Amino acid sequence: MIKKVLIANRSEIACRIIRACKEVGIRTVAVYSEVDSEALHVLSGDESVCIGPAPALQSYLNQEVIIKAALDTNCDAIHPGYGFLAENSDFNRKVRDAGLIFIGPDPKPMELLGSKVASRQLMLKSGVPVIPGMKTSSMDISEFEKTADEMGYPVLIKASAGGGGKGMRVVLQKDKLKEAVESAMRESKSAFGSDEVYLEKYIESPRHVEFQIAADHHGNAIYLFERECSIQRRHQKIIEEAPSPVMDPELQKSMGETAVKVAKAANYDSVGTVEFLVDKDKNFYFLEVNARIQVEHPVTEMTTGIDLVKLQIAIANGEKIPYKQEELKQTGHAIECRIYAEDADNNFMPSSGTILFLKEPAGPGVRYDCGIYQGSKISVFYDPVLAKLIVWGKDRDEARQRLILALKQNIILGVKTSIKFMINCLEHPEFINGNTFTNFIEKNMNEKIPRPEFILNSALTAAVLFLQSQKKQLAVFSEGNGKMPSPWLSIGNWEICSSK
Amino acid sequence: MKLKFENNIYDVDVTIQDEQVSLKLNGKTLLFKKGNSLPNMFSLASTDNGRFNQFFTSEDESHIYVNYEGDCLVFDKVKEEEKSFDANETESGNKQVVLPPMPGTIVKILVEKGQNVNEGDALIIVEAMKMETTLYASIDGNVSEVNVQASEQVDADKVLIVVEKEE
Repeated sequence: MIKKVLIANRSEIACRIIRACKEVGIRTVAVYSEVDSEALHVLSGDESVCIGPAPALQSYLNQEVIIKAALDTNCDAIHPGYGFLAENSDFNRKVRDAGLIFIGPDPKPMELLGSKVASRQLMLKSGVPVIPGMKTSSMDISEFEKTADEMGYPVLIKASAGGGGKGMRVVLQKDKLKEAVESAMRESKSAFGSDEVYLEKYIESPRHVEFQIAADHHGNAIYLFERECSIQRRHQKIIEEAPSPVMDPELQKSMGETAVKVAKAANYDSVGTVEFLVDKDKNFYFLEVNARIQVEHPVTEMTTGIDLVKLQIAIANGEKIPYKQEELKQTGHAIECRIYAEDADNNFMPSSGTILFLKEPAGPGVRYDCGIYQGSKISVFYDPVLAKLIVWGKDRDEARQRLILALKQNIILGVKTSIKFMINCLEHPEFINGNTFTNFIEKNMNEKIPRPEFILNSALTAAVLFLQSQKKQLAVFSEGNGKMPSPWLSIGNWEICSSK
Repeated sequence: MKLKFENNIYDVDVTIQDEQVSLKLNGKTLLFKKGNSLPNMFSLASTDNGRFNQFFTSEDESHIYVNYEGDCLVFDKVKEEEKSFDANETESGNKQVVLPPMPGTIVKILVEKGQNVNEGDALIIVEAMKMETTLYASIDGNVSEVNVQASEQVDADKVLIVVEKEE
């Protein structure tokens, strides 16, 4: 039985896992790099261990140091979260070799599925539909050129070890191919430590629909329905929802059963996600398996009522999945927005700085998985995700309206965020009509929506009023008889969760 | 008081009497009504529709941040001595000074000193937060300076490359 877990991750997902552990009475150890010593996840864990300097290679990707930290603090398991080492089968093996439980799948299926090329071959063999493309990765540019010439452009370059759009490039014409392959190799090397990339046919205007699966060590496997994650920028999802606007009961059953087939073919034994592309005629193609808990898992939790992190821990403990497929139901509609520190007006350039003010949204059906607090520093070293806002409604439109309101009420000052951009997406007629294709942003969100003049004028007024009141306050304080401002205005958001 | 926003300088003065707020903006006067507010939240209604909107505010040394329903406006505080500050100084038509979009690492330099480039040519690739960004020439000209090397760490104010138009 798992009694104490080291969470080999940071930010909101580390906080999310710590919360699940606390609910079931498991003690937690947070790890952090030198720049993260005051991060929310560090304050949330029962214990914390510094694992090295800021660059991820020296801290959050440093396998030996992380395993040693788990042993030193008497943990019996490691949860890798998503990103970093989550799908690194070497790490997975080393964790097990050290006598610890790895909360995730066995290294063999992880290795198999982690290689997009190997998993493609397995799917072809198992009769799962896949997108045409190169059979293996290659270092030989002429092989890329040959396959691309045969299939015709546009083509898509993908990192074998990839995820989250890192190391991925769309190439429209031949003269851009070499540069794109090299750039994808470099990005993949720096993000995943592997420069294996391959090429496949680029399907235009598809939807990205993925199925949540869970499989245990006793041969049981289920699907927990789909999530549509078509709203992406730079091939990274930013808005995810369940159910998919395109879903019908037959397609759901057919895709769900295919997802379970994928899990069984790979001997998968944890929670995971099978990603598909769905074209306009509702044909679906296997993309890849994400052998980890995913960023967008709350959307499934909100519509099925099942806590996926707790289920993942139970499976790692050797327990049987306590649900039968026919008992599972998707209820209502959930949508998630990933709130990044980035500038939507400037090509989504990451924004770093200090969170000067944070007001978290709340209300019926509103969930905020947060990795920051007021005063947090957002460094340039890591993915700039601040929080995830997930909203549930009885139907898609109620969820959408609630989400827009919650986004408006989520006040973050100090860094640029994607909040306004996401409100604009959610208010777009094509989103409202469910026309969510993976090119939604390029197609619909190119033109900047002009800001009404009264907003700029009011904001200028507020800015000046604020500066004037700050000066007054300073004057009062310096006389030594001033009233302190209410602590509730300055303390930011806190969650009391230490059980030391 | 002067505030800079998206390359425009706004000369603003605000006076407040009871609930009436008047904003003097570049010589013009606009009126607002101030509702229940907090030290870092101002509820303002423009006089045309009378509806109150909430503006949250904060500041650091050089900026004021204002958030209205998820829309975040960042104003630069303009010091009096910087009156002649010209945002386009670094990118006048004859010279392009290439700065990184944010602190990061140089991945690859695609041009050499002395090389002629055309507008739209890729000059340099910078990586920050695991994302590669390619910076392009905005003018036709000659590369007069290359001040960095591959894999060098750079701050946001480091001049990476200078392109100058040939006379």
